[in-house]
Amino acid sequence: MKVERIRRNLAAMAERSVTVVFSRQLGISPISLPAENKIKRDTAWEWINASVVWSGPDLRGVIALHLSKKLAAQAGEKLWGEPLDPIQPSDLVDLSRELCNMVAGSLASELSQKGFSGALETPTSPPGPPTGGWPAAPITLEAQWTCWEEPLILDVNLGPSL
Amino acid sequence: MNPPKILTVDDSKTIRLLIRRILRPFSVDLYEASNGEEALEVARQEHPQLIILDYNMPVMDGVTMLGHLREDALLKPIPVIMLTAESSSHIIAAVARLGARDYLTKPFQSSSLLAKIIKVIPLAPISPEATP
Repeated sequence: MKVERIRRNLAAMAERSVTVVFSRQLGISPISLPAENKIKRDTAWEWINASVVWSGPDLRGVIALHLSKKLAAQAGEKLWGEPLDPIQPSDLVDLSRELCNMVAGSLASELSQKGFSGALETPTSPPGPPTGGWPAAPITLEAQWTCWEEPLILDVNLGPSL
Repeated sequence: MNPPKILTVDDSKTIRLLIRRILRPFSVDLYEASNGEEALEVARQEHPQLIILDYNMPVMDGVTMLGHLREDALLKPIPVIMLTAESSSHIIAAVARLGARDYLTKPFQSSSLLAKIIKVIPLAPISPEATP
């Protein structure tokens, strides 16, 4: 019953989590993309990926954020307060991990309000174009936005804790 | 009077740079560490007036570091503000038990962090002559 409530509300929770992080930390509200305008997960964009494992006694899963390198650089300028010269690839990876960490933290807080407590692990950064996540997970979400006209994808895959 | 020493502990360079930017207008000696173990070493050497501490970090997390800090008679009185994406009640309870002065969740507004810092230590703006 509680799991069904999560499934029903996950898109709205993800939307709120991404919006609060981007508006509070970067001063911009990402524009949500409808399903028919899906961004292609291919090499046309230079992707930076970050993911965080969230686990609790009932549910566990992975929250992954994928953004273009250009978006990461613009977000970086906002957060760092100045352009880093030169920007190292590791700076963009670090920034993406931190954004993913914040989005996951906000989502974890929403999940906790619905009765699912859990803790976050340290974010990691898988290389390459974003994969589609974990299709076997009972609760999945793919949400997409544009931000400064650059792509932003959030994948949430949750399943029962073992 | 010497400027207050603040130690920022976060594995994310992004957050360390952000805090550096927030504190830039103030006369502060800022120290940085990327995990709890490194931070304990800096704290023993520098005795900061405030520690801003993340929770999730490699090598040594924030709660473990806070525990070590409280076991050390010299470091025990240093006030700690937790700054973390974690909002689980058991982690908030753990850091409260260990005497963290305040708790702020990421994402955060610069003004919120500044307000919490000012509640713990007075900050003086950098005088115009000192600005390069």
